[in-house]
Amino acid sequence: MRAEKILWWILGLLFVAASVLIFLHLMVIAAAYPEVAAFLVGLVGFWLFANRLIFGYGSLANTAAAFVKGKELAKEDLAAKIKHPVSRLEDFSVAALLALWQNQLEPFKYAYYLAFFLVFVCAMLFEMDLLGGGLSGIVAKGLMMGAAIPSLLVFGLDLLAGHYVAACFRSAA
Amino acid sequence: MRSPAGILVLSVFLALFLGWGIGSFFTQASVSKAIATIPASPIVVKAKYHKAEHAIVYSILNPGGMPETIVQEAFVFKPGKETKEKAYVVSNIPVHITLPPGETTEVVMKLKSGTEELHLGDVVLATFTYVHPLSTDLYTVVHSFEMGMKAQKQAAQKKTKASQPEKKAEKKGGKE
Repeated sequence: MRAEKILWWILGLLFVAASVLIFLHLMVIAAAYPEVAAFLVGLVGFWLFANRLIFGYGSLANTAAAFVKGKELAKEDLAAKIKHPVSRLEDFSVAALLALWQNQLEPFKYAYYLAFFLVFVCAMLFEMDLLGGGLSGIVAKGLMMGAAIPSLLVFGLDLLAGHYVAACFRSAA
Repeated sequence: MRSPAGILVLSVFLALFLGWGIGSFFTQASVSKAIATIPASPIVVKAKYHKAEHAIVYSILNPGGMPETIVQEAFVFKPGKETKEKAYVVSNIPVHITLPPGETTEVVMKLKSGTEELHLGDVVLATFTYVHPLSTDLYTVVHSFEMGMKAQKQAAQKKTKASQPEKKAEKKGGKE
């Protein structure tokens, strides 16, 4: 938990610093290097939306892995993290609580993937010269490339969390 | 079920491809920006005589990233053995033909009206004068067209006469 918190703060500070720098210099960058500006906007903007998923799936995978290895988890802490409007969450098994946590992140994941898919399709259409090429095509592709980085993180952490939650059910059974 | 190691391998594999894509995207953007500022010398890739119009159609490729404009054409007619027409020169025909970057443009050059149509062995030596946006200098491309010569034959001839380029590529700086 401690390492996770330190990581969270480091990434948060980096995010703030990058945002300030980008907003100060975006005009200058965009004039000279439109593809770099589009890449940065895609990276930072999509990271903003992916943040909840990255840290949600990351800490879910961590917690579930600790549980599989035999660590006792306090159900109250888990219930506080899930923030699910169901009474008597403490009566659930730990595996069920973890599954509920995973389920909680599901709508955000699909909204995120939908947004990334739209950006991807837009970049492909520009690439195929259906919407016109030139500068707008380069900007669309840069935006997509920037957005692909947090998307890949979400994809990997989602797989990892799914694996550990399934392992929890197997070890509980 | 996938193991964490398998997920890691899959993610690393995808990340490598993503990094490759991002790297080549930035490289492509900067290279195309650099190429767009380089004016290249146009190349005559094909020349064909149109009997009905009494004109030669040149296909001129502009391999650079900057548009170029042909401002003047001139040609020298040298008769072969089969024709009775005398040699003549037509110079300084003002034209305004833009060659877009990276494309092949067709340029029609009408031969002197009232003259005989071209016969086997006739040679037309065409000079195209062009300008590009970076300077006010005039540059020329000289192309010799021989009636009845197949393109392959011309290419073979060019190989043997490698020391004296006949088809193209005479670039001159300075005003004429």
